[in-house]
Amino acid sequence: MVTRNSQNTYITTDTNNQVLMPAQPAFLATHGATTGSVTGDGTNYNVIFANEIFDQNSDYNNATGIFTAPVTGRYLLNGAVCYSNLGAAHTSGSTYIYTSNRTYYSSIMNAYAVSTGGLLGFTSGCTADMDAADSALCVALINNGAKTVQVYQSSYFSGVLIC
Amino acid sequence: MKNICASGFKLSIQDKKALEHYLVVSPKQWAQDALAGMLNKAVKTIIKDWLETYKLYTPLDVPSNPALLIPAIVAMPNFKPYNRKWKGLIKASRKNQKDQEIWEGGFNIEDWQETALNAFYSDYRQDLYNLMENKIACRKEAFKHEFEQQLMRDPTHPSIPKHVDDLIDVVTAQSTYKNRAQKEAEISI
Repeated sequence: MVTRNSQNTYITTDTNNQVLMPAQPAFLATHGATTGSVTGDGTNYNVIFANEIFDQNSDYNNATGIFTAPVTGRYLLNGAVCYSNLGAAHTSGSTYIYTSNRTYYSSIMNAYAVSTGGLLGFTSGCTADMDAADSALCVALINNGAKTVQVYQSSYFSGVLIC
Repeated sequence: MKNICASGFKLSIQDKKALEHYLVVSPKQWAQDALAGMLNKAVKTIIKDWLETYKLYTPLDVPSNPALLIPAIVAMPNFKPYNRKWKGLIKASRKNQKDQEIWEGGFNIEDWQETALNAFYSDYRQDLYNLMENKIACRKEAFKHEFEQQLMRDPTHPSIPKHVDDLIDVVTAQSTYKNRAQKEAEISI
């Protein structure tokens, strides 16, 4: 079965009852390369995941790292930021997802105590209520030391409209 | 460079309070971000759909700068505008006059950006107005959902205001009330 409007096929089911929605808003982008020093002194760094893997409905901007909701709904957002070049003074931090309506703080922890080798990954996920044209982005924050902390290349940000 | 929506956008005091309950940026900044999202979608979709056609059309290499590429694609004789419109947007219920200006000075966009917006949307300015109105409506609905339940559990409130604007006034007048910016200022990481 194929259901379409004048511009796009928007639902397909095949003989094995597998459903695809190729125009459903969904994106995944990775960081691609390790940044220079972006946080460490309390700077909230809006991570720009420039390496776009997919963006089904053209809602993610890989120059700014911002996803814009195309419709009011519930969005599953996930971000993972790996930090490098941590020092002994970097004793707290967070990776969080900022949306127009709310900030989803997660993974708030003592960074250096956990890292022991200067590398640490924080993940953040949420099911976010977003209104049409709202923004979402992933923010990296490490506190209490010098601005020497880098965002490692393996970091990523993804999202999908779920209902 | 072009200035758009200079006639502004007005909201009521309760609209403003409902937005401030959720937003940490100004309503104008929210609209600026929405416009950036609209533009991003227009540019990406046009390039995704038309780049291969353009490669066949042009004898030259393809410009990598969207400021050059978008006008070139749109100028092709077989290019068809999308006439997209944001659907499913709602209007806010309000009792009081809209007298608070929030889009003072409008927004500046480059000429090529307007070319992209005009090629993709049937009326991007009206869409931006509708999106702002929808944003207010959604936040007032969310405010009602959040605080009607709280008031029902609070024995000091024997009744719940029927209209959302009255509910907003009652809730925000409470001494313990804090909006998002005030709540987030208390979070220490």
